[in-house]
Amino acid sequence: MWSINRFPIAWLLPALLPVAFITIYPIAHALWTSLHQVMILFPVEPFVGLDNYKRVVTSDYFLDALRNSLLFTAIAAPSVVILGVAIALFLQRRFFGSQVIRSIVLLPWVLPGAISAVLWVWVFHPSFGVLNGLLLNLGLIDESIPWLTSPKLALYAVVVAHVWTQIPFAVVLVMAALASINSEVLEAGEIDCRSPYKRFRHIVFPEIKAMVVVLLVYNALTAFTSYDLVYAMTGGGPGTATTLLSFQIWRESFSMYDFGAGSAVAFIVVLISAVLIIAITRALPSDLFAKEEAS
Amino acid sequence: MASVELEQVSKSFGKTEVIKDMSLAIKERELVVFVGPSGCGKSTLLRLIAGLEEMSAGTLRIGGKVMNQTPAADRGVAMVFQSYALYPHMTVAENMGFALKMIGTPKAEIDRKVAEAAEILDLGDLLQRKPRQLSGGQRQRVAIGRAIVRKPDVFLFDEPLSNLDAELRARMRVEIARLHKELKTTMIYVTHDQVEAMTLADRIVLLNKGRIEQQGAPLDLYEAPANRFVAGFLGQPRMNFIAVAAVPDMSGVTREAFTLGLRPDAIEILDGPRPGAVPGRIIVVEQLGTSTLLHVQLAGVADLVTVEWRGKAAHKAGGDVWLGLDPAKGHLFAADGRRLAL
Repeated sequence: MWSINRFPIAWLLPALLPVAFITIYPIAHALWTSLHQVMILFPVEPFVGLDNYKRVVTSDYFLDALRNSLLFTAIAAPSVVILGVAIALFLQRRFFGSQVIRSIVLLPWVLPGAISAVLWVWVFHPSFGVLNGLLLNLGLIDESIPWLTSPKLALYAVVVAHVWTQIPFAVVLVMAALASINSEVLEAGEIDCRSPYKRFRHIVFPEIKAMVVVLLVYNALTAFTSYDLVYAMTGGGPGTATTLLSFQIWRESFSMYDFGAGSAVAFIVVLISAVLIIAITRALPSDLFAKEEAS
Repeated sequence: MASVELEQVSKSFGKTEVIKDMSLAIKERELVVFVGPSGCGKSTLLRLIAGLEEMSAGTLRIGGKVMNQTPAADRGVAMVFQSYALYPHMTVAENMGFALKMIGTPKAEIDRKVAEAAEILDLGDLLQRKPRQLSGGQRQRVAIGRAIVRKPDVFLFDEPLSNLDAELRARMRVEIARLHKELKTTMIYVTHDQVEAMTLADRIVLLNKGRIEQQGAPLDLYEAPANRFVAGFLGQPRMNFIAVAAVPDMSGVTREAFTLGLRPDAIEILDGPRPGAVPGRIIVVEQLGTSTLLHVQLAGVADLVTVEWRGKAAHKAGGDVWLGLDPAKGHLFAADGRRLAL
């Protein structure tokens, strides 16, 4: 009588309530804050309509930050997915020491963001960095490259660090997707087609496509909302070279103590994220997001 | 069509030798069945021929050409797998045409060949369906269709009917036999089911522990098994083995101990005692309709002896019965399993 088919909402309520409390309430609160003047030093919080948004959008950092965030996302998300798939395909093979290499690949996952940042600061360090040392020793460059202090290079350096931290998760998910393919299907492919590339394109990829789309969406969001690496590696600089929109949420709120403006930036990030999700799932339709086919 | 020759082929996985120094020649247009218990190496042997596994030693020739290093796709073979192994995201037509598409065959020609194969296998209505919308039997027909479309020199079947229910299995068995007649192609068929082996094969290759126990026409193996293993594997219900102790015969000569192998239909049920008859007690009666199986306990024989009685027997479980065991209707096996002359 009280079956889940007849009263789905009642059965889902225990699961939905906490979700509502930790997601919908904060978002609603952020929306409210973005429409009010909320500054820590002023006890009154008057309604200001879209003033916060206006101020944020017309500020001198906004366009730079938006461009940086979009560029960051556009490079980082596909890189994570492509490298993740490539590494997963490689690690799927069994060879001497493959178990050890699997563990090493997963290592960045267990490091907290701040520690990864410190690690990469040392890799890119102009005087003591491993990268410059290596390039100098190989004779590829004559003098150290200021990776993190050059306005042209800093964003890319942060992208590299970000991609490095995100790859393990992508590798694990793609390996799981690869492992779920029927091995006889792969063997049938071997008999039907000689080229490993064509086999990947026509047989393997369609099988992992749903996972690839999920990873792409996930990584677009992670990249678009990433701020810990930027905070720890460059602090948004030099100038506004690595200032990301998500970083500005933090800066407006906790550096300027203007929570109204911070929430306005946050809301803009949410809206753009929503657009990104829709764009990616539309561009790469997969079974996961498609409506059930009548069979 | 092409011949397939294996010359002193071995295959090891780590330290386990799965195929041991095997030589075998398969003629053009022959339908050879590899049969044997699980773990005997029959599937590995097929995969070596397909190119899905690399041989540890030996030479493989298909159509006279050495294929040891040739990639699977270039061996001129097509394989039908136990799990059907259809490409899940492709339609039936795309599945069947995939190999041709990969070698750049024009679309019109692919369509024509797919339609031809679909006609043979009665798949015409299903061409636009995805594999998950098909039943097990339909999937297996598509898998066979995919193999036919390639016009391979050699068809390889790896337990293709194991996932089907009994009725469908019997139907598909007939269909495969018909296909072999129509296509006139060399076929190698792996199964653990001795009924499939007996009914389909031009020649059975019976494998055990990585070696060939015996090969030959199905009835030759059935009637003249080379050893106890072959005798026990072929035939349903299984042959009875009765240990006979070494005793002097009437002329006073003592024969070595041996095992008497009698098929269930070679044992007589007698009305009463007579010279040479053995008494027993019926433990279980299985009515099969056209025949009845009696499982009889004989004094001094550990295993129950199965007797096949043509027609409906009036015998009941718990009743006593006299059996006529005539060695001339069976086979004698030495302690090491080899068959002895009567």
